[in-house]
Amino acid sequence: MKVNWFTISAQNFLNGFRAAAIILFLGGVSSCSTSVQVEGEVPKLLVPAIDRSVLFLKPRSLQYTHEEKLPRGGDWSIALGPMNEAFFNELLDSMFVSVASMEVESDGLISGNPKEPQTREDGQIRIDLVEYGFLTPQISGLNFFSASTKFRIEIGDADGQSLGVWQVVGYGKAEAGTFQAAEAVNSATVLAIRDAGARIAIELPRQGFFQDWLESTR
Amino acid sequence: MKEQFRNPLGLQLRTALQVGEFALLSIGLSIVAGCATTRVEQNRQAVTGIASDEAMVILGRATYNDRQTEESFTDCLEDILGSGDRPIRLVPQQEFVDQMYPWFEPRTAPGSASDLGQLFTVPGVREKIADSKVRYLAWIEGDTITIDKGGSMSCTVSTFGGGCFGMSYWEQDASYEASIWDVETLDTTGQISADANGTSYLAGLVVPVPILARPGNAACKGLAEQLRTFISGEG
Repeated sequence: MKVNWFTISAQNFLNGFRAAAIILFLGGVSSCSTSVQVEGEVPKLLVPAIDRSVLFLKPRSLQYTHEEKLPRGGDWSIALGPMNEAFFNELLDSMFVSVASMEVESDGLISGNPKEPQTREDGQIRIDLVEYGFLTPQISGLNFFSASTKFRIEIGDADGQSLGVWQVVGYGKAEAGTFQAAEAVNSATVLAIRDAGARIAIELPRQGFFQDWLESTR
Repeated sequence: MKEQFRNPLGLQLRTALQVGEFALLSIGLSIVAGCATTRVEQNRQAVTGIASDEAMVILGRATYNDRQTEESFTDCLEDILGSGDRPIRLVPQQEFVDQMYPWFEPRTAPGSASDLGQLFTVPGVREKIADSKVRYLAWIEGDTITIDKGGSMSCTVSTFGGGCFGMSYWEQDASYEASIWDVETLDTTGQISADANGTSYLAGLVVPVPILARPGNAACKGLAEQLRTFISGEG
């Protein structure tokens, strides 16, 4: 039997081409869905610790996962929980001399603190993530990914009486190379959390209600 | 066939062809290298010098507008300054920013050497910098932008093959400035600027052939070498 090697090699080429096309198609389909577990360096604060103890109330909003479908940008799922948790634990540990923490399901502060008055913290601090957003270069027209976070900080006394609320917005942006969109969104989000953290560390102690609390717990 | 290879005339022809190819390649490479032109300028305001145990930090100035110094540019500066015959001890940017948190974030970083003096009044800041033996901070501002582009190229892929035809070009301008602060004297010791311009081409001759000018890379090399000379007090 005579074998036509040209026909075989042409068939092999076509089969290879089809396989490559399927791989490219599958790659394109999978790239339409991007999942980001935000993680990054958690720096220690270089500020003198405030000589007060606080109860850090951690609501479910800090465990937020952002889900968004972008036109021409695919489906995005961005989990901020682990980064928020690690970051704010470190931030408050550095800001105050003593911090106890408690996860809470309800709104507001904890009234009727079950601890004995002499062992209660000097105050309560609750941090909620109230807004998160991100932009891709396709949407913004800029050369980088950007993210913003908005946190609501509520300070209360030892009995859970609210003393004041302050909101802070953090912003971050990061360059992205080809096929590095997830890394860039991660970096921009970490920078947005860091930016908000920097403002909390520097500006929160300057707020009037915070000064009043310091004065009342002197 | 073997006879032909032994033929001195054939050997000469091959050698001539190889020389021709080599010449074309050299011309091509020289055109590529010649596409980026760099200009470096320096303004010295104070005497500088660095001891072997002292360090410098290269910091990209981040802004909240649509422009900012690329991380790849500051990485490039770090790579060049930290190596070579006269390496300068560098504290990596991210390590320094983390150590100094929250004082060197985009929103809070000092804008001038006098602001740095104010920052030193915050307990712990001066000590932290002293611990890492940082003597100079070099703030880098600028970016690389595309200022012109044109031409056209079309690529086709089919089951019978494919190819690209046409030519496109883009001209980039890289403009950066380093402002160097002496942490010891809390003064600005000088500024160095580097501007580079270059045009890249993409020629489609069945296979796309890129001829890339890299003005950002050229600006980095120019700025890094001048920065090394400046910091060591030689220039």
